[in-house]
Amino acid sequence: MASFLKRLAMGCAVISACALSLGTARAAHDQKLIDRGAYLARSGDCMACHTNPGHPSYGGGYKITSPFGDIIVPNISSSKKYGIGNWTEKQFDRALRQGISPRGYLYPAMPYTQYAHLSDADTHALYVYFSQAVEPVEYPPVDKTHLPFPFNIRQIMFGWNLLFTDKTVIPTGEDKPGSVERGRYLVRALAHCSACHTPRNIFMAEKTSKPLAGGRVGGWIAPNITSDPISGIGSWTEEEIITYLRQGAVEGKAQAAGSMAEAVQHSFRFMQKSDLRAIARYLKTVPPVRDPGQEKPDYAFQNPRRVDIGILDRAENRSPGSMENGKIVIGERLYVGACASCHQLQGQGTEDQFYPSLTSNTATGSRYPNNLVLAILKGVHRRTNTGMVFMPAFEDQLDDAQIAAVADYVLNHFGNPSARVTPADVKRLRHADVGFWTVRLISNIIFGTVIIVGLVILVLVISLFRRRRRRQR
Amino acid sequence: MRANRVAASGLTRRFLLKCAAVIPAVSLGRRAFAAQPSTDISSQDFLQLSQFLVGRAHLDEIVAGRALSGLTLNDPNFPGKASALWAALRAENVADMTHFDEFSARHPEMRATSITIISAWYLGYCGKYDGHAVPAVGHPVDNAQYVAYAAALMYAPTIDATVIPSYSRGRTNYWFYPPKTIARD
Repeated sequence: MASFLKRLAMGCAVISACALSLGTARAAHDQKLIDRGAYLARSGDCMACHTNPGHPSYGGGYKITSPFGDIIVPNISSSKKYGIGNWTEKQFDRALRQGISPRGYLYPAMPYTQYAHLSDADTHALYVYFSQAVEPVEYPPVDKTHLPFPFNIRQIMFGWNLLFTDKTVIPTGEDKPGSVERGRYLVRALAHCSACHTPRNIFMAEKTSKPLAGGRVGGWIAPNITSDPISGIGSWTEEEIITYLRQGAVEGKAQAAGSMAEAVQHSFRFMQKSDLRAIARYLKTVPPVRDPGQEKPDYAFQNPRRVDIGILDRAENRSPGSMENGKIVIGERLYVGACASCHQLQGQGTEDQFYPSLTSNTATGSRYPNNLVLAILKGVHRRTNTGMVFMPAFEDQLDDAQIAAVADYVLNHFGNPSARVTPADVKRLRHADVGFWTVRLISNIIFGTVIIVGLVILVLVISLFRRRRRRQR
Repeated sequence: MRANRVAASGLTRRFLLKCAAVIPAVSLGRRAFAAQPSTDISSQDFLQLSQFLVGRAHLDEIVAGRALSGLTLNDPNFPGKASALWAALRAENVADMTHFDEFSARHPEMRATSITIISAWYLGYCGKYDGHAVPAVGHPVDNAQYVAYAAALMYAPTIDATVIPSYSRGRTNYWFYPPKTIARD
């Protein structure tokens, strides 16, 4: 009897041990999948849009400025009530790769046109990560998206999707780390670089003829990143591209601000070096697109116009009267007062280039000074793996005329002297008023949309008619 | 403004130049020269005198103008003293500042003038200064005159390691970490 009990006990122990190890194996497998999903979410930069700065991760509420109005990003945490906690994998997949969430059509501010190329395995890992590992945020975004008619009718996206969504799956290149193939997948699908860096047509769809030739995002210019040595980044070395993605800055070339700073902060700095190398390698293969009329790269304005130190280094009038008068519009004096303490009097930046030189700098060398003006207005905030990069925002300190004056001074002395800034430009950028599109093109867009919807209906009617005919046969 | 000053001082400068050319030739010596002191110094001469005194080939003209007018404001006889100093230095063919001690031993009265000029360039102000960043209103001794801030020569020798206050030289919070070169310095 005793031996039987002993055997039974032993048997139970063996069985439970097996069950336990099976369980831990499963847990390990899940953990691996979750880790993979987390890496993919990082690389896909979901955080930048789905997290409102200062609020819990993935709680939504971030405002995306579009030419049609502000789009408020939804909560994608695992909250069952406000997030995606109740979504099935199929629903998640449809939202991610087709832009159709259970709550309705998404606007292409969500880069589903790029995510359409994601692999099934990566989509699965993302689903597991978001539904199982992301902390629920139990409240909805405060604001709501209100776009003007007809864009508030989300169903119009049906026609748009039909026309502009390409669902080709791109090979992930996972078996070839650091390869061009891997880079293609990252650039075109996961990291959705083209969402900002490809110009858009009047329907706000990417111009497929000019991939990565540069776009506009809320007033900022997302530069041309094709392999063109003058308009693009063809003259950058692979290492420089990697450094840029990791640090958000390359000495003598460019610094990331605006949305790109967010991409560095939330995404690129966490990516494996082999993936960054893959991106750099792929970008080198992107067909070059030259900006007509551009003769040298934006960063190639290298010779500052020297100014006598005596002019820059002048006594401030410290009388109470002059202190009240904060309205000077002399670019040089504004530069000395607001910029020189970091960028130095002759614009050379600090020796370690933490505060970058204003010469050899795409922000000042571009023919379009948007990024310079926006950096002055909104400042630069970028967290990197080696610390915080910071430039104060001057939108509350300087008025439009003053910002135009100081930007002109900088362009004239350190950058591209043919670029000009007017107070009206500053005003437009200050209010993120990218509405020049809306004003000029809204009628075209409504007209275009009507045509698209009409076409779609026509196609549907024809196919229905054909089907009926077939049945009749 | 500078042009006006040059025009106004034209005659004297010409006279001075003539003196400088003639005096050594007739070997009148420094006593004779001192007997006809100039009461002014041209901005160009002051710049050259400054360059000689601080041992630099280039100095900024605008800063020089501020130093000259500041020094003149505090001492109306300054232009004459400076002019005499420059003439004496040239008359005695003093090659550079390594010979300044011998020179000032011969001219103790010129030593003080030299020091005020050097001090204006190095400290970035001239006159008396009570230690406040802003001249105190109605302060009895504060007659400091602004000459230069970032261009003050005192910053130059240590500029690789130290900072002109309010001008950053490194990354944010750089002051928290000692400079890398400290081991070699």
